[in-house]
Amino acid sequence: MSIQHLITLLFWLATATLLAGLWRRSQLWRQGQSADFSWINLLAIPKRYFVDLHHVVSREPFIARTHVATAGGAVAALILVAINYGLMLYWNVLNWAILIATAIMLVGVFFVWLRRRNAPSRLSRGAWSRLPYSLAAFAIGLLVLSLPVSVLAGSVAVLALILLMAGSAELALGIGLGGPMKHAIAGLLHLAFHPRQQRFNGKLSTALKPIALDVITLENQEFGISKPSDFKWNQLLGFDACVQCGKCEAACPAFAAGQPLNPKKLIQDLVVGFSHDEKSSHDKNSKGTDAKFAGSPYPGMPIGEHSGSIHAPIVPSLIEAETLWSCTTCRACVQECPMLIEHVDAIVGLRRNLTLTKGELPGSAPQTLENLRQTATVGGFDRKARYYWAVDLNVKTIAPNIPVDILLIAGEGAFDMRYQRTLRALVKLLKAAKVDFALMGEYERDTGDTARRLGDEATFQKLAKLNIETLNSLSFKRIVTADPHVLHSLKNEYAAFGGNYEVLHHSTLLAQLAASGQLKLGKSDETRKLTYHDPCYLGRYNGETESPRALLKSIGIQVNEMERSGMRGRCCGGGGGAPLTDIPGKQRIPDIRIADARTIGAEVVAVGCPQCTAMLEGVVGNRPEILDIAQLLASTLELES
Amino acid sequence: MNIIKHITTLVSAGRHPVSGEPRHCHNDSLAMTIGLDMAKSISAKHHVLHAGNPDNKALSEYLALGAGQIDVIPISDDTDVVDCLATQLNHADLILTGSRAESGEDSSLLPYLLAEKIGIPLVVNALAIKVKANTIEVLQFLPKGKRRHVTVKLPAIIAIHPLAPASLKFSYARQISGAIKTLLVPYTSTSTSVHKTQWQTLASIRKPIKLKAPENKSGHDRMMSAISSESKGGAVVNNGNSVEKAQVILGYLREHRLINF
Repeated sequence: MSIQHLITLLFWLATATLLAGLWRRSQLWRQGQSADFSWINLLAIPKRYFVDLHHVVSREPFIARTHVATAGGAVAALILVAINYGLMLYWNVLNWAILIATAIMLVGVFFVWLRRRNAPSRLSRGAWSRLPYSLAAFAIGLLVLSLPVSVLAGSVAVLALILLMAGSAELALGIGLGGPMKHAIAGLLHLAFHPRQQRFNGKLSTALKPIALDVITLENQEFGISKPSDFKWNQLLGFDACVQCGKCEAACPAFAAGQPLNPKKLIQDLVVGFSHDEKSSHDKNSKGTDAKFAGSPYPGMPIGEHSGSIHAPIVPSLIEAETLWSCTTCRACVQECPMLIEHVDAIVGLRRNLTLTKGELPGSAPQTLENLRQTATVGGFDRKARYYWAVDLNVKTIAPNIPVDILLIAGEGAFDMRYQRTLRALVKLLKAAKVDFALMGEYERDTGDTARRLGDEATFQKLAKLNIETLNSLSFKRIVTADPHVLHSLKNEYAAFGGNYEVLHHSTLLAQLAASGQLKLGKSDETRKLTYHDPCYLGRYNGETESPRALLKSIGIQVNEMERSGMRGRCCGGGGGAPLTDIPGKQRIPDIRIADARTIGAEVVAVGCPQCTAMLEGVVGNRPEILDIAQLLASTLELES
Repeated sequence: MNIIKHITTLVSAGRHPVSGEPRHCHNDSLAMTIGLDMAKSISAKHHVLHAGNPDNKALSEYLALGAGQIDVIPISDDTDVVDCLATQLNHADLILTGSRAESGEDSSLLPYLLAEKIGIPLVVNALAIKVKANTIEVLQFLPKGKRRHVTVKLPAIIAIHPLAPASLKFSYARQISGAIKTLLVPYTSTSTSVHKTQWQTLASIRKPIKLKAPENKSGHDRMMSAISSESKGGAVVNNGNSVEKAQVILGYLREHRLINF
């Protein structure tokens, strides 16, 4: 038997191993719940890989190029091997092509190795550390074997074959045994069967999906996700796509603040959970532990003390409740994830179980939810008091028989004396632009955003239905709000309950009015250095990063960008009910954000959200002044008149 | 030997002071949570009893807080609650309740009247309950941070203090899986609560203001009176009939210009 035949044998053996492994892994994914999917999307993988996924990866050009060389070389080499050896053609010209492909791969592997030598702390070690070596073995083995046969001495060929076998084992066994290379197969399939298909149409997909709340569809009286098998199968597949690059960890505000959350470990814990089954195994130790995780732990929680299996409750044996309650739902992890994993959906799913089934929430979250149920306000206020700040402004309040162009919804910030200044500035601007608008008055109930992020889907849906009923009885063309959380709920999440409205953030509307000349702004006398803080629910959730900047520019203010801005902005710590659950950490998230502003020497931070305003103003000591966009714009009107 | 077989918690229909929405009465929920925990630890049966309208939305919040099932004695507004509750409490070894309802007469007298009616002891302002051999030991709230242990024989009524340390867990799953059972007991009222039918219920507009005599004391004195249980002045009246005692109170209020009639 010649070397060529051995390679053919090895190729088909590896292919069979890979397929067996894929079948084995797919059995694990199939333990999840059924989900809508379409086989046709398998055809969309190349586009999604080269456009959507590469768009994220290319933010870090070094590793993007490294991956292009490594994976590109490897895939090209494998295809060529499949043709030349798999089909037993044994053409010399294809051998030369294989030689070139493996050479490219080897260059890529060299850079993988370089990076691993000075790896940032966010990268996982463990099995991932052997990857440069096993990939190099594959590349060198194949490279040597594709040299013209006459050059090879027998012993060199055997050595190369052994290297090739070792390298192939990494590729072929990865998916079946859950090794690092499983990311290649799971990652591609995840692109096809992603739970949020809209992401690939160039649109943002940030709305949480509703769950059924009637008793008939309820199994075991459980809501949300209690055990790994409660996830949809394509979510489980998505967790397997993780490459443990830790970009989520680096972006996570809770991790940075020393709260016990690391999105990367959360995903890995869930992988541990769904890839172990207590019942099917003979020994009792088949509960998977997190001991093999070779990355940063949840701050303050040592690795190796948690374990789980497919049908065992996740909280608290696999993941502690504090981990879930640390999340601000800022979506920075989702934004950064090169494998397009949806961390926030997983966290809210788990929270839903804690809230709806167990009723266990920390801090002042239970009181907040009770307020929402009983008064339809977060703070337990009288709904009539929501528009007291506008009592002297002569603004009409909407009623079923009063049609208006624009309905202004204030949100919970209206009860806060600080934020009332912003709202009054906004009213002043709308008046200056001679817009036909009205306030919502006591019709307004909370949108239920906080309840939904805290997992209380029942209260959210109740409020959503009541609000939709109210809004549908009123006559308006557009809704404007200064609260991005209100914006997100009304615009993106109410559609699932039959509420379709054109909702604008005040900065979007004001930018439109300023551009059309309807709103005549003066030049600001603000001479201090200014920066703009992007609210997560405006930027990442709704893609609005330009209007606030355009407005500031139009009044002659130069925006100095902080370290993280725009779609990659750093969270203020105010979202997702995190200030209510108040999980202790080493520092507070808003302190980190203000430190960003101090670093660039900003004296004013422009904001566009009541949560951000409250969180950033809550920073003690000498800090920049926090001013809403509306306040900065309104102050130029005074100069004019 | 476990002497407690049945624990019954009495719950009332609450009402949010601002929005007027029907809700659970927080104090009764504390009593129920303490009762449920206790029933679980000594494997006794726990019952939740309400006298009123079985369709009241407030009741479902008790289900969410873990009631499981609520037995409702259907009565109209003018029926005296004490009489009809007493008929349903024959088997209870321990009766728990909050200290004060949030609607209705809201007089906080129900535990007293009920204890008198059934003829069993009552302990009010309870913070915690411990089961002993054939008695229970109640940790009782006293002002200024003081506490005392009270041992009481069963059956007994325990009224839980609003500051009792129990954490309420509101679960939607329990809310929709629980049941409200209307008791079909023939009940004929012997006495009715006067005037109640003529009441109008409104959401409160502002908080009631506590009548308090103005004090001219130094900061140190105020601090001492806040942390010590010594008398702040005034007088304790033990002698005389109720009219004479009322006259003393009236005199005090007039003296400090808290009333002007």
